[in-house]
Amino acid sequence: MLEQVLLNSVIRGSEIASLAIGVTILFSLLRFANFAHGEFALLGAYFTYFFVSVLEINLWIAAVLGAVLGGAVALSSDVALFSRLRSSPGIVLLIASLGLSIFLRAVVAGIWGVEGHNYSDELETIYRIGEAVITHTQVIIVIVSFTAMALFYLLLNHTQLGRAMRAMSDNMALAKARGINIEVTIRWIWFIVGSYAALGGTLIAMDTQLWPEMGVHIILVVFAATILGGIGNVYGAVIGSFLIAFLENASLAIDWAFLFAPFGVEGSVYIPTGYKFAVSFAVLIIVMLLFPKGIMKGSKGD
Amino acid sequence: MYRLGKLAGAAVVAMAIIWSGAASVSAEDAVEVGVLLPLSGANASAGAKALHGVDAALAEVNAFGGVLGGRELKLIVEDTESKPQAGIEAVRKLVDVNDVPLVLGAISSAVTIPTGKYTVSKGKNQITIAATSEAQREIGDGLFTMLATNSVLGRGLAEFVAEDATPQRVALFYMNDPFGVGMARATGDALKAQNIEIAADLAYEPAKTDYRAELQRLAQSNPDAIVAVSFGETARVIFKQAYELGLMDKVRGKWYQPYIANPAGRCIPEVCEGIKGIDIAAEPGPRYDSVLAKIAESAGEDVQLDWFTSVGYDVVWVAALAINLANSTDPSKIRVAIPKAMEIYRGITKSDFSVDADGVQVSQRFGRRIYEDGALVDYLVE
Amino acid sequence: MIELALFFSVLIGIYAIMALALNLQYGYAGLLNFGLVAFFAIGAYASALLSLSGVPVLIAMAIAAVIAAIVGALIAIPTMKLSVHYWAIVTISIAELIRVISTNEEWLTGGTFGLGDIPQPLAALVPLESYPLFFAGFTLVLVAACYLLSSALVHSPYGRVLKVIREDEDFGQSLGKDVASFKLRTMVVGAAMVGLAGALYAHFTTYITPQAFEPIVTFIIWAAVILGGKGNLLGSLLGATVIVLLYNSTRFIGDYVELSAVTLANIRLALIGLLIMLTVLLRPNGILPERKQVF
Repeated sequence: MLEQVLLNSVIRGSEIASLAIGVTILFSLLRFANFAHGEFALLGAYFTYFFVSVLEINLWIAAVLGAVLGGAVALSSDVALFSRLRSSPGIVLLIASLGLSIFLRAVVAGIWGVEGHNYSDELETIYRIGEAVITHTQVIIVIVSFTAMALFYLLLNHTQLGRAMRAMSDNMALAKARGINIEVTIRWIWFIVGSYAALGGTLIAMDTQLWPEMGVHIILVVFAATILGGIGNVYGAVIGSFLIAFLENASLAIDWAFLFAPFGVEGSVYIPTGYKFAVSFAVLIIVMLLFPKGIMKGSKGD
Repeated sequence: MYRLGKLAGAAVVAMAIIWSGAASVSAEDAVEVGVLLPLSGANASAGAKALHGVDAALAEVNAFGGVLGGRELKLIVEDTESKPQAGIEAVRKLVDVNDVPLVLGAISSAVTIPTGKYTVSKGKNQITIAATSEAQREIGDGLFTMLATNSVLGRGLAEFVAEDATPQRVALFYMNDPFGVGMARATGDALKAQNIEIAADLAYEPAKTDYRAELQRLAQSNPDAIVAVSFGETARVIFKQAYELGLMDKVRGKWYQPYIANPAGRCIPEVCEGIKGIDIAAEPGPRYDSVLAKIAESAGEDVQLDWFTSVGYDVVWVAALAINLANSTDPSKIRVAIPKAMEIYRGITKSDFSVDADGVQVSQRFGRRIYEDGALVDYLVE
Repeated sequence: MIELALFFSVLIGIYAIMALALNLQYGYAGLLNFGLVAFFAIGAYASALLSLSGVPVLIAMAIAAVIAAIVGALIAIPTMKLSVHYWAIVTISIAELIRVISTNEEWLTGGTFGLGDIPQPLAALVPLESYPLFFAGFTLVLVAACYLLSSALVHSPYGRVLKVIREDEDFGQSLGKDVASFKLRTMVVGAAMVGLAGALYAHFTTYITPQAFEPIVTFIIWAAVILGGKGNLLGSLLGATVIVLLYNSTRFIGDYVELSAVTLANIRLALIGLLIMLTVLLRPNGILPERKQVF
């Protein structure tokens, strides 16, 4: 029981984190929450599908190609749209990304149809860990997610790009004065977070299905995870993702009778499943009231 | 038998009268009918399936000479975006601007009820395609359904579960929308009437990617049988995750679905093996297979067809027939003609589409089905 | 055709009231309220439930606005110390929480089935055939009232303080102004207006379900405010009009172009997305930019 709750949380957390990292990096640099991030994931999943179904390429190579194309889409969206709004407030970029998200979703539905698809109809290999189970794809999701987190750590701390990025998110004017090429750095960031979102989209689609609606139904949870961890803090976003995933799973699994027993309530007390998606938001509100700066220190909270 | 024979005779005569002599249709003064379908958003795939049937029937109607002695039947299809508000905006356009006497649709009860209310309030008519909410009875004169309401289906499902599994405790697992809640409640009430205990009452929000926590709770309740109300893309994810968590193995042969053809449509065979359910196109009319095969040919193999398609097909023929019987595009005359058209029409989804005084389908024969070796087959309770 | 025009004018009116409220909160006080739809839902449910239980519609609407204002205050008071982006996500969370509650608590809200047969204002006094015209007029009166109220507020000393606070909170503080109290008051006024819009919506459609209160409503109003122009009240009226017309005029493409309905639906949505992006690109400060004011 508990093992399964933990495993489910790790899987779900990895999926949320694959988007939350990108959202948080974009936030720390450009000061807006990118609505279209879910659609970058969606496009990545469908690009992979194109390579698999039309060109009949091996799924993993296809996933990498899909990620590269996803990064290219993110980069183009910066060139065509976001770079032209550098001096605008974040909210203007957010509305632009809302438009982009509606546009990209319609394009995907137009090209690939509104029905759900799977990469293959083969059964998943299922592994048992004690009482709990996890599928082959889910293991890979977790591994990819943790590897990516390690790579982001290296990128941020041990590369010139990462140093430039951190300098920019701390103080844009100072970074410029130090001779950092702001525009080039931003373009790189778009490409990297776009590819990572695309890869995340492919992984989520492998675990569930390809469907034009998949991005739009996850983005609010991603935003919540991003903020919960502390705005602009990559590690915070990761922790926020896993925390939300754990809360969603654990809150439904726990028998809350012990809280109510003193009041004479008998039997089990479970949270109705219809409230599952409210749990993470309720916790977010409580956490914000207790820790007004997020659970990790945000780079900038203003 | 007498009634059937009489009806069949009437149908043949009516068809002969209506389409006699009509050769080529004239697009000049086409007769316009509105169609409301979700073509984007969470129910888009159901909308697309229905649209294949709608288009096929439209082509047939016009090939047969159209309506009202050679006028083209023209359908104006509007997207409800799977949302009530967009549905209301769409029906306003159809009723106020296009001024259609008749609207067909929508798919979900949540969109059908407000749009139906508006259509009827303007003296126009609406035939709902897939909505099964009881509330449709209250909408008033001018609203007709192509399916029976939840209580009928719920009773049928409950009887099936009771006879087949002889359970003591049944868990309800349903999507948290008017269809899911209505269906689960109707089935649950019918089960309780047979002294069967409801082990768990679990709602879930459709269109998400993760149902493992909800499914854990379902497993925890340790039921003898599960009644699950799920649909389309959401159902695919639920089946897959239920299988992966070992739940499908645990309740093999004891998982029951209403309208099973839709959720089982694209299942991985091993995952859905042994899922049972009831289906409405279980006693289809004689042309069911040939019509669907023809649609499949033109739609491409990528498209999954099920009873959404056949009901979409039937509703357009009912509309054409009603307009011809009314011999007019006057909404009030069409309103009188629709029940007659439904009585004489021999559908592909089912033979008898007769409606009661509220405009709701009288008969709904349900076939009991089981998913075996990758296909749905008829099932007999032993 | 006239009926459709009246329908859209009411819809535009409802959106306009929300856009005015949001512009007051964002354009003047700098509040990033992403939970706008929460107050819309509260106003709609409160007014619907009250009028269904026999309270006259106009009184129900007024009470609904007051309830929304109270909820606004209750939300604002404990959260005012949060910095803007944290506050923004808290407001989204509250809105989602309210939507999920309205979906699940059937005893109160009718649950996922919603509330139907909501009475309409002064329905007994107005002849049926002229009722759409009456309702459009009624909406216009409410929009005008909200516009005049907002306008009076922003041109008062209170409004000028708000702008100072928006530009520099510390400076506002140093002037000896109680920033939190100003923000709270703006939040309450805005919540009341959005609550009123929600009530209007409930009595207009006469049928509400939780699906009408999804987060997208908030973002659509944000788009209206940004497209119209931050800090410009006329801009908000214009932005609401543009958004409603953008969403609905695109429906008429199908009457002129021969395309399959599915393709058309996707083209329509792609076009809406594209036009939002284009407007933002061409007029990043809105169609009617904020006028520079000398204090």
